[in-house]
Amino acid sequence: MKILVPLNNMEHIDDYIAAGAGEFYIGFYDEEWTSRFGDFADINRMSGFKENANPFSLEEVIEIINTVKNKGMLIYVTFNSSIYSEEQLGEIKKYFIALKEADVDGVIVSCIELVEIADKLELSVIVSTISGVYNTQIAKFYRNKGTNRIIIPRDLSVDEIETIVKEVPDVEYEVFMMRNGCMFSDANCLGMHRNESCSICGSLISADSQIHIKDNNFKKRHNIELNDLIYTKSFHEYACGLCSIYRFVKMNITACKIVGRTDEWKNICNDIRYVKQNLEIAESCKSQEEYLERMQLPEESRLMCKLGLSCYYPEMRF
Amino acid sequence: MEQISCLNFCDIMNYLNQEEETIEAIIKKTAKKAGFEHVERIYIGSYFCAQYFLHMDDILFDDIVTQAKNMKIQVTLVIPVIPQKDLNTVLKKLEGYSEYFEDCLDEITVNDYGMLAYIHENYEVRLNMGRLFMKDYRDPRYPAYFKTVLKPKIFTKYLIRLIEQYQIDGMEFELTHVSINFENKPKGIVIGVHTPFCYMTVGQICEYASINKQIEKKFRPNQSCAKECQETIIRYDMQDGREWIRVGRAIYFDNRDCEIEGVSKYREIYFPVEWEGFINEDISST
Repeated sequence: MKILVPLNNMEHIDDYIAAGAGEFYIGFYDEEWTSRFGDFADINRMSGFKENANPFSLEEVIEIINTVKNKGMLIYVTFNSSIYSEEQLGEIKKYFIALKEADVDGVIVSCIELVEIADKLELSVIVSTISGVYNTQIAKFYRNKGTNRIIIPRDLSVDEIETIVKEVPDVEYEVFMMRNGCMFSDANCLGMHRNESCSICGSLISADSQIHIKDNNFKKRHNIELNDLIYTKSFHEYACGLCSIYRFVKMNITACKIVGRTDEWKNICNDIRYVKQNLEIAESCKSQEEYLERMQLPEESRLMCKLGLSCYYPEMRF
Repeated sequence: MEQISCLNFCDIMNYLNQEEETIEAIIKKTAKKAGFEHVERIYIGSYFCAQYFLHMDDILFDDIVTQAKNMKIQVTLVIPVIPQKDLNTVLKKLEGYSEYFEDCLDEITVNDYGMLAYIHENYEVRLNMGRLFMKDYRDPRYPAYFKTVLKPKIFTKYLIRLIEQYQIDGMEFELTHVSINFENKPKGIVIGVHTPFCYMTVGQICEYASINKQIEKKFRPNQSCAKECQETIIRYDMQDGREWIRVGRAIYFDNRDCEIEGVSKYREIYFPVEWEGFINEDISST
């Protein structure tokens, strides 16, 4: 299982590789796109964060592709805004042609229209979590349209992932591993991701709220309010899937993803190292139990490894 | 502009039915709330929750379809995105519903491509693309975006081929902006618009389903529940004068002033959710 890492800092690419990165993903900005389609039209889901998440232009990304490939690594370019218009799809086709010429390893896409466009250009297609591949029916649909890799949503259990992987072969799979958990589904969260305001989940947990309860009594109200308190204050403050690595290795998952295109490179390197160490441990283990006994817990385990609240796959421990 | 009056009972049927009223009374009451003189169609099932869909009360379901038939109202069955662990059970449940398909339950709304292909291959029934296919951003926190006219991006050449391949009859949309223009809609497609709330986000992790779970088991995706969502609604004060509510797994904002353009006829699909109706209601604020 390769470790997929966001590449938003070329200065530290060798640090990422030394830490254990095997693949990179990257997005880009294009001023022409913005002037044509407006400031709220995203090329990818992080376009609203401007240079913080997409520091490079397409021309720079093409150079980066060359650099990364010379280092023997794989690199993918992401087009995972929630939806694109006909005109935008036409523009993206031009990007795809340029990326194909640059010998990119694949494009990460969010919608079926882009799967078709990329497939026709014989570009390797990675279906983003934005597509919401939650079951075998959906996986078969995308595989049969020409998808090469499916990124499994972060809100599926390990058992569910295993079923999909077994029942829909002939396609690669990628799973979420570290950083930035999410209360909602990437596939249908339709608020903006931009600099001016936080994500909608952030706005909701910091907003004043009123809880309306039918047939109220003290116990019921207590349970609802306590639940809300834990949900808003403690759930997914971190996100980690290290305990699931053994299972994913056994399933032959192709890649695990460290997210965080706006995060500090040192923190990302740290996470890469933890995943890498645990991959090595998993390879030498004979059982899940042995792996859980021997694995390296994350650096912040005193906070993170409590009650499953920071786990991508809490069922591994709790 | 002609509006076809529809009621959306998805995700809230138990909550509507708690006062032990007859189905006819519920339909009449909610129609009045919507301002409808008569109702042409009811949507039942779920847009957002596999657990809700899976555990719909069969007796209640039968009551609704029977009463709808008596009142000459058509029924649409709505199927949410089903996570893997429940897929086979839901497909079995669908088999059970198929006996209704030749009656007043004459169409299905699906919300993902897998189910779209499955229903097309296995059932002869009218087919709609549900609200989860329509992924234009909606975000009133950004007035410069919100106060524009949306031309839905989904109206592409690819969509026209998809409509032909899967024989899609209708598409459902949200009140995402101050105005929506449907002039580019594919020919023959019936447009449905959900009112008065627009869903903004949804997840497989349900806050309400965790209420009675021990802490280590809270906030698991698509976990089983006791339909706590039918007894709890959270309202959020986003300081924009707008209602923001959590109903079931989804977050909605109200957008009652949205204008519809570019279409001569559409279904208004009214969601009769209300929090004022709760018996022994208690409000706690943060």
